[in-house]
Amino acid sequence: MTSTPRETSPRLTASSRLRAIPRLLTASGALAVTFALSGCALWGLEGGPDAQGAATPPAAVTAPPAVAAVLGADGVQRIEITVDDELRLTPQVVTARPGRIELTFRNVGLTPHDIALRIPAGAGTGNINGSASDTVTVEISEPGAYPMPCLYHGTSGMRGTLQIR
Amino acid sequence: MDISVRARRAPHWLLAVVAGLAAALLPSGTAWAHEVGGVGATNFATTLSALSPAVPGVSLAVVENGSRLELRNTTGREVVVRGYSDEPYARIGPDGVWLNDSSPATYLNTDRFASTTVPADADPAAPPRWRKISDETVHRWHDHRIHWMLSTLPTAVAAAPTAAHRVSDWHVDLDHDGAVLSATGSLDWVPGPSPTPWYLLAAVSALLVVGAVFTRRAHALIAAALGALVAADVLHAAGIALVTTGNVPERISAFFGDGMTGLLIWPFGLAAAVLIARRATFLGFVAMGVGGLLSSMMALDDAPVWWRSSAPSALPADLNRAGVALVVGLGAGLLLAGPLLWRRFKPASHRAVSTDSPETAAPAVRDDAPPVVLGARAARAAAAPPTDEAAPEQAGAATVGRRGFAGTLAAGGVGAILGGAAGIAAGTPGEPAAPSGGTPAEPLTGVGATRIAFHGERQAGISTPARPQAQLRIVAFDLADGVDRAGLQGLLRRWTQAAAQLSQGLPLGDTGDDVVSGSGPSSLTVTVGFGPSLFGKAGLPTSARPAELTPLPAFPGEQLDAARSDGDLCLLVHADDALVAFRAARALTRLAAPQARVRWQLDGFNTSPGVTPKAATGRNLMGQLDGTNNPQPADEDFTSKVYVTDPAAPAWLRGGSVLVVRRIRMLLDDWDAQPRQAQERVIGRHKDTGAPLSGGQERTPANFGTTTGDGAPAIPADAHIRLATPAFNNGAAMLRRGYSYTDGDAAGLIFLAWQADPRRGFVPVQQRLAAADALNRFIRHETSALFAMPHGVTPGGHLGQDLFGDDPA
Repeated sequence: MTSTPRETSPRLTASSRLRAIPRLLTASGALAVTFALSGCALWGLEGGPDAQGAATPPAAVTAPPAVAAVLGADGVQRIEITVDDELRLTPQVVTARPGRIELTFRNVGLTPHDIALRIPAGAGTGNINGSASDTVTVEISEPGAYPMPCLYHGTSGMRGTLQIR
Repeated sequence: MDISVRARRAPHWLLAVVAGLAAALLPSGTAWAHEVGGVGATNFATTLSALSPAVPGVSLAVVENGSRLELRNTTGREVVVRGYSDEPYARIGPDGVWLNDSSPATYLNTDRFASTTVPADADPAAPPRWRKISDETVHRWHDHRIHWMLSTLPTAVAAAPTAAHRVSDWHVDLDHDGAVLSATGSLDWVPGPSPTPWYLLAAVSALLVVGAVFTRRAHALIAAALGALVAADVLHAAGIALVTTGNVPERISAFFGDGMTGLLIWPFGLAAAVLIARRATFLGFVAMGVGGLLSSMMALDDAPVWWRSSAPSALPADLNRAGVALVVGLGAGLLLAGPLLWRRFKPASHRAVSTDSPETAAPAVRDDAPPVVLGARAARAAAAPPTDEAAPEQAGAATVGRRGFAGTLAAGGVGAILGGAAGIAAGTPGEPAAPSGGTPAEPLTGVGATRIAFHGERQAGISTPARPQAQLRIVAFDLADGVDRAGLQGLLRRWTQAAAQLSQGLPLGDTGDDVVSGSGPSSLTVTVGFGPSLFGKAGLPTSARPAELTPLPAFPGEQLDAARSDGDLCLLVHADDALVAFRAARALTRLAAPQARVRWQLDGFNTSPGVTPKAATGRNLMGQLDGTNNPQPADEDFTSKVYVTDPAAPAWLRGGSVLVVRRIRMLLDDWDAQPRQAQERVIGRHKDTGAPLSGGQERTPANFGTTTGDGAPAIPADAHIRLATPAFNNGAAMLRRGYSYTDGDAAGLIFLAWQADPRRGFVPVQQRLAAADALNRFIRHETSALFAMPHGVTPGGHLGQDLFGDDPA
């Protein structure tokens, strides 16, 4: 009875199932490695279900520190503002006294920006390519909060403020 | 026999080689067009709320899941799309699509994330340098005003990703045949559903496929699973290709994936399915390869469709999700089932080799035999002649059905591929582009969503919209002492900029935005005017005051409150919503400081839209229809009556209009004590229908000669309409768009009358009325003001820009 094919076949099937296990492990291992290599960027900025692992904005954006422009000997207040690929202006809020203010926008990223100055008679920087910078001098006499939105990235919330006190 | 076996196996080996090649192609082909326009499944939803005014033949659409805007123009005139600095960016018209090489948008809009460099000579202020790019009348571009550009979530979304958010509102202007077509919309975050059902579907599919190996119809079922896998993948690709805009080759390429992966792998998978159905056990490895490839690619690229609200696909969202789950599940199942099929049914020659291996030789393994049922079935199968080529003959008639089934499935798959390709090639690009699935935010009704163009030849709020809005706020300002020309220009520039944004429903970036958060523009208009007293201030000589702005004379009986009359500047804010009107007026009032301060302000109200028929004349608080005899826009002399057309008028006023404001208190206690007939004789019209007492209907011209039975005139000698009619005032006419007001116990009419020149409009009429009008007993003029509204403004300019002459300084 033990020599009939009917007996051997189950054993063969059992052995084949056991042999499949290393293959299974290899396959799932390969998949796991692929996922791991993709890292946290696996599902992009919006993340997994319920936005788990989504790319969240840095805390600095939530609480923008205001930086005051520095008054020079010639009476002009100066400040350098960096703009970057994270669509941030740093500092996001610039404070200054009424008078002449020289704003230098330095693009430290690759994406171009165009910062508009929502002030009376104010124009804007025009296009600033990656690694380029532009300086704008404005004269403001009235206290107030003047928005500095990026014309390209306004919908995505790229906006600074010039606070005249 | 040996030769024949080799000969029949040759295609199998060939297939295996191709499978290896396909696997090798995997890295280069990972982007299997699961993104359209650079966007895959997403919770961001871009909505176009309106393009206003609507022009037949000009259509704008959000395509590719918010990645691009698409403009079609089949009219005879070109449409110009404005770039980020309001410069002309593209023009689309009968002679094709042209891009302005001087516009930075030409370079920025080529890439979804604007990762590019703008050439130094691209200056929005420079004259356009047009370059033709296509003969079509459609243009699609990545407009960065409509989508999220940042690599992190918006702060509010990151704080609560499972809630819906309005991320921002957007606005794109088009120019067509002298008119500004304003497109507005929103960018929202719409959370997606739970992915659990799709995880389960994928897992169940995988388990069923693995289980199928251990059934009697293993080959047929595995073949069916492979066919279904390919069919689901084809369906998925077709859904993507249908929303891919572009020409036929681009859409075909989207269908087959990068490197035409689909063209290789689908026929290959189907051929393998057919052969597996014919018991080609070895091709279980091909099923493994195809399954693993499609499953892993799909899982990596498309799993997010399970938990995101929208995906770039023409399929219904849940069908798309089910398709992805099936590909992932069936593919993963086949990855395991393929080798298992081989292990179970491999030919004897291979089995001999296998039994030499240590595992099979180990007695312990034999004792741990699997369930008897499986073993018995396997034994029966193993008892069959072991070579592949013998299988069909052995199976005989019983397997015809199975083979037929798998063959039909495979043929169906081929048909699906061809049909899908044909459908994609024939489909109209762009039209099926609305990605289904997302639950969009509740759309605003017509009242909230209606926008009135701000830019144009004439200021809005005078004769547009045709039906006066429900709410009015009028604010008169005095210029602060010492404000010079530059100060006034700065104020007008701020007002123009803010009014343009507000009227299009855009936020200003101040804290007041919250007042109207979630509100549409609601037909908001802002109209700016100059009072006679402005001349003599801010560097404007008194002599520059136009004759049309000659101060009104004193009229008998008026009891004017000087502090609530006149003013240097006027802001007239209309909207169909009180909050929207208040927010706009307040924001503009704040922007006026410190150059100007409020002198007086008034709020008025009218019938809300939808309450009365659109064309109905409004009623005042006395119950009369008010405005029946207004000049109609269709009248030949409408423009010359309402707008300044006199070539002798200063340039800033030509195309403008002169507004008389009178706050007329109604002595309603006295009025309501009168019987209706007495009231009707005072006015000269029936109260209910508005028909003149001489007979007819509301718009029937009054016959002032008609007499009643006793010989008295039907419309009494002192009736209001007799004294006010243009016929008795040298044709003096004005466009009256009055509002009602209440102020504590007081109530009445804010009389607003627009005309080219009050000296041929309000002044002669009011002189007659003041002297003899029967209505005078029931009313009291308490506020009076006169303002000249300059002509409209084009983008880039500001209201009153030519007030100081043509000097642009």
